[in-house]
Amino acid sequence: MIIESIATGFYGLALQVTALFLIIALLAAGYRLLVGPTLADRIISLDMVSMLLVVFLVIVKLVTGQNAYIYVAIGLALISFLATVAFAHFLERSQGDKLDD
Amino acid sequence: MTDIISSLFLIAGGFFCMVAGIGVVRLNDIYARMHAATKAGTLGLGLVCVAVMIRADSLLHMAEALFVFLFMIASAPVGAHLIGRAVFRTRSPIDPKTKADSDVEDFRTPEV
Amino acid sequence: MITFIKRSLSFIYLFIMFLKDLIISSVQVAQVVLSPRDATKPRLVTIPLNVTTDAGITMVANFISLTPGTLSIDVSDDRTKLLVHDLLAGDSSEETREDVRTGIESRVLKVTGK
Repeated sequence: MIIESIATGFYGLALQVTALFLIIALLAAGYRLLVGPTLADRIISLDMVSMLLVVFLVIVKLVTGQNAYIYVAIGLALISFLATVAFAHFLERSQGDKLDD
Repeated sequence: MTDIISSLFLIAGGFFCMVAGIGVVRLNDIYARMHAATKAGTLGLGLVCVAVMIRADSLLHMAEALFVFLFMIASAPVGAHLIGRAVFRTRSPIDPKTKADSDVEDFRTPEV
Repeated sequence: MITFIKRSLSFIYLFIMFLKDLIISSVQVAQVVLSPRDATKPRLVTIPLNVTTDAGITMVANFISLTPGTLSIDVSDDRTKLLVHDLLAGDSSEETREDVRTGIESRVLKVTGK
């Protein structure tokens, strides 16, 4: 709706196709997040979901012209990186403890 | 003209994000999935950022889109490396058809 | 001063080659992912390192993760070897080692200096 009202023609079509691609990617990552056999699978799909959110925010900036969205994207990228590092640390620690027992 | 070039970059970026998503679902083990998520995902974000840079109306806005991409380049491989190391050291399941060099086991000794 | 300029130029060269590698590797991943049958030939490869500085090892490990086929997993405790997961290596690891030595590592060496 918002896309249709702002852009038309080839550019508008490109935005819609991109949105479709991103929705497919989001569904795929969500599937792996729910099903993923190991914890590591869930961690990388969570990482993937937050990366897709960054892409969405950058595109929202493109559509609305509100420049603040790109700051949100930068902040989200930072936080998701920290979350990945923390999760990796947690994974190494917790499974290591299990092996020791 | 700007519209068309930036649209092409947008579609390419979305396509690589979709490849990353499908790869995360389709590939066999955690390492292969990380290949898809890291490489295709980073390039997808990069192409979308280029599309934004093409349409940016000032140099500052262009630089901000570039920052997002540069930060992703810096952070995505570090995250993948850390998770890969954790997965390797905890002996998570690996694709049975993976072959390995003879001295791979040396890496598993945890540093004390 | 001249070394500084040389190193800056080689860093820019490293970055451009890296962008090219990123595109090639993503296209490769796209081919693997979208091919109807299972096209992966995974292999764990150990790569002896020529770079010795911390910055050099960091750069090599990070750039390896975004270049065709390879993903860095671990650095050995004595920092002489790098463990890499190669998605398409198959039976031989020599090719991967050669690619890293002549490609990324030589470019990084030009930036770090040793």
